[in-house]
Amino acid sequence: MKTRSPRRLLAAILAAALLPTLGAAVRAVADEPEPDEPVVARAAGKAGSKAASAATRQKVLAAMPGDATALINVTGRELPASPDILALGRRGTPALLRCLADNADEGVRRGCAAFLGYIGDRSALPALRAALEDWEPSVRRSVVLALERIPDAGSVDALAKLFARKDEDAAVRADVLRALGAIGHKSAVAILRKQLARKPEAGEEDLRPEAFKALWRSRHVMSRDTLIGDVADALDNRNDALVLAATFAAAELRAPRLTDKLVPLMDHGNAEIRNKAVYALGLIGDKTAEKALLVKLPTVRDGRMLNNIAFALERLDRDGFYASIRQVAAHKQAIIRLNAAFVLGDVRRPEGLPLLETALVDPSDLVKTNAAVALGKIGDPRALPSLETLVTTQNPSLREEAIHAIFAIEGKKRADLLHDELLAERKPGVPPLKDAVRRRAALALGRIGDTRAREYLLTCLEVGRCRPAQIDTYVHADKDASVGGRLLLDWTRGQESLTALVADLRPAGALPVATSAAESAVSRGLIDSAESALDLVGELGDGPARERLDRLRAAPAMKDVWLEIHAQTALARLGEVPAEAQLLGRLDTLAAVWLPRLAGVVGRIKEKEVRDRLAVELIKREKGDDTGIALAAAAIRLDWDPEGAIGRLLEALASPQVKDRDLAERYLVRARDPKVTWLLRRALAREDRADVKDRLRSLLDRRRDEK
Amino acid sequence: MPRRTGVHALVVNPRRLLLAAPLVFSLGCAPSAHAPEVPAPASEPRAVVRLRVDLDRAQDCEEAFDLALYRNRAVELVAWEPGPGHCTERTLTVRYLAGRASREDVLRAAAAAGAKVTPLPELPETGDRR
Repeated sequence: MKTRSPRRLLAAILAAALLPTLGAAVRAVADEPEPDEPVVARAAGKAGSKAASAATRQKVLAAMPGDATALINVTGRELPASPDILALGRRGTPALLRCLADNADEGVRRGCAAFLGYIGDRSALPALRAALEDWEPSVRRSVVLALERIPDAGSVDALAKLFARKDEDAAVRADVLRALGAIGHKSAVAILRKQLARKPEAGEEDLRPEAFKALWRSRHVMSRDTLIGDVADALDNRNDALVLAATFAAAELRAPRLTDKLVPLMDHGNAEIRNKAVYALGLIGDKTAEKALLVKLPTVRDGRMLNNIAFALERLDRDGFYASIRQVAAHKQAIIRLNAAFVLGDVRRPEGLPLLETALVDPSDLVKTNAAVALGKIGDPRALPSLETLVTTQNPSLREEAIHAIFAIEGKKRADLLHDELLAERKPGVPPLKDAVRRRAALALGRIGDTRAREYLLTCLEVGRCRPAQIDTYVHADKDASVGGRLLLDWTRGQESLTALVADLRPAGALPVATSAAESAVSRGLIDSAESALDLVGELGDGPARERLDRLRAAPAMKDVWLEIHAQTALARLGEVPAEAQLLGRLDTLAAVWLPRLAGVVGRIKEKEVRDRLAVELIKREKGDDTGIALAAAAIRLDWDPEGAIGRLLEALASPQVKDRDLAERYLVRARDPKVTWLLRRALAREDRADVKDRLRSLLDRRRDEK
Repeated sequence: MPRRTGVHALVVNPRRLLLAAPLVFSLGCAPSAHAPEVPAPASEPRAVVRLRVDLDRAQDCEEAFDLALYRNRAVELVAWEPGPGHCTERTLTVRYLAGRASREDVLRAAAAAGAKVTPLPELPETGDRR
């Protein structure tokens, strides 16, 4: 029996609660699951019937590719698990279509509609449109979501007809609006604009926020003027959800025309709206907002608002900002002075130095502490003399922040101070340092490769208080053999998140251990462990390892589609050319929803000759009609050759199809190579289409936030 | 700690952009185009210049520098080396199309976009020049 770790199981159960559209019972999937993958848990049956149900499900699954009627008479319990159905990909489409039309069980029809959406086969569109007339609202809803996943202008009329029905559920109508937004066609936009302009009648659900959000997804097919006009109207509204959505839009559009509508929102009763409005004003940078912001600054009563106003003003009128923040920094209440110090640090400009140096002698230790943090953020050496005076202060938090600020400014030169004062064991009789203090110091020293942090960091990782990403720089900098050895030991104890680090450090003995771990995990059906062990063998392997992996192909666990993909990837990396064809075959047939995950696994291939061979085939697919496959192919190459592959993704980012834009954005956000950021900046600098420019800017923001 | 809705520091010093603009145009490069950018052929000669820069302190100092440099279409890639500082003492390599801009052009554009620019000796050839 295949088993998964408890954490993944918990995630699967949580996801089950969040995916009502998949009433069909299914088991979890793992390996860096993509955010919208269907992950649902199989309903528990009585022990006696379990084996029989499993056998029936296997039988149904086996029949699906060749028999379009295979799902007509199955019950929810007999429906195969979702990973198995998705692994069939398009081969399962005919059976799912007949299921949607002819199965009498509402739950099964709902599941079949959802599967069709996840698989993304466009040949399902006519049947899905017809199924909008299903008697059950839950099925119609699932069908609408599937149509959203396979956006096509040909679905607009059928969706509009459903939306127009007075007796339709509000939830279904809201989903219809979302689907129309995903289609990104002028005819859909017309419907959405009409809905946005229409005030709800008494007792009727107000769907204007949904209409606005859907319209926003289709903004590239609207003229800029019309779009800005619609956002302005939405800002001037009593529906908070609509106003909030419009403030987000205003922040991205950065249109000066919206300034007048945003300024009054600074006093809105909803804090989220107030803050977003100020944020948008800062980004728009229109001088007419300056006066209102300056008036607001000294009277603001929450830190977040203060911070947003500060950033807006810092862009609009730096001198005015520093004059105004001076008043706030001298406020009679310490909490407000504290916030002023925080803001001055976040602005990161040297103009804040005099105010912060004054704050360092504030009567309140908390204000002083925040001022020290801020000076560290600004990083100006002129602050050092003031900070040095705090190294011996009695207040431990203030002392800690002052030392970190000095280290932030001086770097390696002051590593001894950081080590001696905040990491080294105390002498007997001296109160010990708190572990949180030592941990922070060790991580800071680790970032500069200071080997005095080694023992602390490795132990911290072993006991789960430090994450691999936090010590990544350190373990790459420390050349001592013990580091790799310790990481390998932790990996064998089940810390699968260390796979990449072990692969990079290649400690002695890693390959035989990884190969044996793969054999053991595959034979026991431990899918997660097997996947990471296979990844490691693929990284480190040689000829004999390849032979051992080859023998695993017959193991029952290899029926798991992801285990098979990991195994094929490892084999391809070890030089088995036929495995490359297997991977390409998976790329061509896998359910659309799984393609981003496949791209993630195949993108890890590092061997040049394997990349070169695969790249020839991937480039062909990048030019194909199926954009899901084309973009997955480009995403794989983005990991190997960002400059060569980014063009296809940038093209998709400007596509008329919302789905293509979203998919390209997803691949571009997740790519780890910093070169992708540099290339996106290049694209932004040379782009003149406003909507594409907005997307690129937002993408760069998201990449920075995720970093 | 106070929370902030998002990051929105000054993107670029407008005065520097004004200074950079004539340089951009002097290189014969339009700041924008309608057609998607076509990569320069691999056969076109490239050159690199390695720099140490101190940028105006701001949250997005690196991005602002890049955006200013990329306005020149002869600049193909600005590659940053990891470093302890955020805006100061940063090292980067600019790869550019040697037939469309000179080393001096690139240095001038970098100087206009960054506060302090010092050319560094080039690193040995890595083969990654496309």
